Amino acid sequence: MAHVARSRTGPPELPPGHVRRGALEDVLDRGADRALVLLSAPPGFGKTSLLASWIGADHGRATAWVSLEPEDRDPRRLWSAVLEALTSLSAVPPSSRLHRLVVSRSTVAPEFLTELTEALAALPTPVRLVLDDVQHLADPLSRQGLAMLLRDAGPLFRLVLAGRRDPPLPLPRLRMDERVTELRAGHLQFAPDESAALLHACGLHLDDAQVAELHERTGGWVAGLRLAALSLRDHPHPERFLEGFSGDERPVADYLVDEVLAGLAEPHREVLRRISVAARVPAALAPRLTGRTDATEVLDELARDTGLVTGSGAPGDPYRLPELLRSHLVADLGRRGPDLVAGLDTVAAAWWSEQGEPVEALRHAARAGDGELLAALVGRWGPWLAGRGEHAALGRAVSAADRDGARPDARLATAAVHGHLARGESDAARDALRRARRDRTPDPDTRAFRAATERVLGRRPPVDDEPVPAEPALGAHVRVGRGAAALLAGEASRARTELGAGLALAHRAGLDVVAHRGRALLAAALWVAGDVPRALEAAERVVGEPDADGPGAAPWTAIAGAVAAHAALLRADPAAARDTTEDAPPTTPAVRFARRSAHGGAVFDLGEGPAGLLALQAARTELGDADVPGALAAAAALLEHRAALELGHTTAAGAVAAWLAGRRPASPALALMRGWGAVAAGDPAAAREAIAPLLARRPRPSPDALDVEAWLLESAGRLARDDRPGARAAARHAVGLAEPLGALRPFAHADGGVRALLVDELATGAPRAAFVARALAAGATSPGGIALSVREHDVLTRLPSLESLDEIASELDVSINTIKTHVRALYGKLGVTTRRDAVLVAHEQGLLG
Amino acid sequence: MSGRFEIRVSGRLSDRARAAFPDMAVVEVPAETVLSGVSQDDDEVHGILDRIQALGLELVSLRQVRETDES
Repeated sequence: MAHVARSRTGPPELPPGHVRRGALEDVLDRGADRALVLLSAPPGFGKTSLLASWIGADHGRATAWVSLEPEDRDPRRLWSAVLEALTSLSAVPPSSRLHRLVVSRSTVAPEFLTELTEALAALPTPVRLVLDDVQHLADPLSRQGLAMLLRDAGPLFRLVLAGRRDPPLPLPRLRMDERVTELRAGHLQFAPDESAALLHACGLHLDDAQVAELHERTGGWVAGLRLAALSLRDHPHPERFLEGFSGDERPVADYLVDEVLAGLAEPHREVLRRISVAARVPAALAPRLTGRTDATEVLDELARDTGLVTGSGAPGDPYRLPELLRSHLVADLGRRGPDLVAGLDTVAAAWWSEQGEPVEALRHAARAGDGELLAALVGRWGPWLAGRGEHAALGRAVSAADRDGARPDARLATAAVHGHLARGESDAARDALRRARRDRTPDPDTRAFRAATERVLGRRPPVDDEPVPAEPALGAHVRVGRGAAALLAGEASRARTELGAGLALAHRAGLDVVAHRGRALLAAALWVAGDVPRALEAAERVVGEPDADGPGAAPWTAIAGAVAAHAALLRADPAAARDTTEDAPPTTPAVRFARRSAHGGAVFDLGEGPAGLLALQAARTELGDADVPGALAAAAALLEHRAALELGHTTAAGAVAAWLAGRRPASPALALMRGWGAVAAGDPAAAREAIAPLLARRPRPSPDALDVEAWLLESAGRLARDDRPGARAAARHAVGLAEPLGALRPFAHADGGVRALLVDELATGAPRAAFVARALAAGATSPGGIALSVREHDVLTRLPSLESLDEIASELDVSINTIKTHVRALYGKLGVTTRRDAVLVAHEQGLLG
Repeated sequence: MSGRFEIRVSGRLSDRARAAFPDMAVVEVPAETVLSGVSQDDDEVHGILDRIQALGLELVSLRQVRETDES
């Protein structure tokens, strides 16, 4: 979520000498039950002060306040602030859905606005939302959001809007329905007695005629009255001021600003002119703008003696000038030379960049119109802004810097790639990446960011690994990029190291976008390394993240979805695997292949054999020559090979084995396929020979599903040679390997004899009995078809134990003959003749476990 | 709105206030000042209106000038 400055979510302090306007507050009170309160008037009419005074102590209780800024044309930024202001209200209970809403890090979707509106409508008590300076709300989606709030947020919700222009709402209709209270310039003008009260509160002692004169000339415009009061405060001849004022043809503001400035010494005027380029001036910025080491003393003096400057320059309380005065000072600065304003904006941009405030820095740099400065800031802050999802600010800077587009600049083009990625525009991202590559002379940091971006998109930049840059945001991108490349190259262990380091950096710097990608890739790296439980944990976290399906996040969420699906398949939960891979998000060929192969395997396991095999084959055909990690190729090939054999299609099985051999001649999965193939061809000796190397792998890699399969095949082979103890030991070994992985699927597809052997492992007290029960139940068909009585079920659940029928009888408090009757009935229903088979079939039918 | 446009504000502007509109022609018509210029799009006109408001000037009228008006 975008960072929300505290100062934005709350009313500003009331100005010194504030005059409380009882009559207008009464109007607002009377309109308090209407859906909309609208204050629409030019600057300087006291809209904000009136609202702040009216709201008073209700702020934070049932009134949320957001002051809009020009950057709020980005709906993410606007609605993040709105959500933050609303959720901090004491009138919003912890159970409210507002607390669970999250603004997308890429774009705001209409669904978010619907959910926000519904959550507001569900609040138990009245809540008010104030949006001040609503003229900054510019994009169509936010306009739609306002209309939706008004229409659907329920009878207890009130919207209060203040701005310089009418907001884009159907005002005539709202008036007709008496749903709006409006205050406009005419209402907001001070009445004569209010003007008198203000001038008095500003410490002026004027006679009634002089007050009337000032009121008349300013038209009750409070900004004008305040400027006049500033001029008159120490004026030696107030009557002369008033004479000049009434006889002048200049606009009121123009005249008053002249008067205010005329009362100052030129060096002080120069200080004010130079700080006017910034709306807020922290103490450390003042000397930089003015070129005077005593700038803060001058500003403190002006604050004390003239009241022109407010604020102390301290953190959280920067120096400020009245907006009206500031606008005139900027114009005055421009008159002295257009380069002067641009030069000061450049100074301010550099200072804010040093302070780690790139958004503020970019604002000044854009005003300076200095393409090189903007490009430098984009280069310096691109990784941080892109990593935090500040794509709107980054995008504006890129387009402002690239107006001529004359030479390829990797700083701008790489930043543009990230903007396109955030919006899910993969074609445009590719074009931008091509532009970035055309820059032959990027600086080292830019080269590192470009390479990281290429790697995370699955490209292989033609550069070696350079040292990880010291800047943490860039470092996070570089690490994650390297992790992506290592993953694609099949170096799972290196991928885990790089991604782990990248994730840590991303967390520390608050780079949500990078963290999301890093964790999705880490899930894949863990899966490739055979650590299915941790892979699944990481994948589920990625999929469950807010905004995981947003256009910017979806391609990476698709990776995590593929991991989760393959993990679900291995855990014999094909329904989950199928559901996870049902849709087809935009992604790379490798990830698409991973998802489609998991889907095909799931369809097969769910009982639609031919359809499953076709889907697996189609996934491979679609992949074509695209590269995939070796572990994925092997996993998909094993799924398809086994499916083909179980359906009796030995040619098809041979084809996929050849495919894997062509891609990964050293893959150990090939040995297993040869083993399976030999069993299918009725050649147990060949099978034994084929899997021998798998059973004796040295050094032993961390066990994965392949080892489980190999030991199950070994068990079946020994059973065929009447080596029951050996078969039992091999099956037990398979169970031991499978349990930590949660690998149930191999047992579902295992030889019937081996499954029957495992029934003995179900006995109470046997190690891993619970896992074996799940393994035998894996692949269970639905319990439909077999109806057991309650008593029969009671008996059935005791059959896997080592208890004799006598013991079961006494436990159930019935006679041995009754038990025998139940057991006979059970055997009949299950179609078996032995206790062992009864237990096996019961598991397979999902009646146990 | 794009093309040539004309804005009237009341009063005679000081040199300082005129300097806020460096890309526009500024002509005085007694008791009013006429600013005229060419805009690419609505945003640009909005920007100029915002500047007029920020300077505390009083807008009298805003109109688009058709090409035929010029001849």
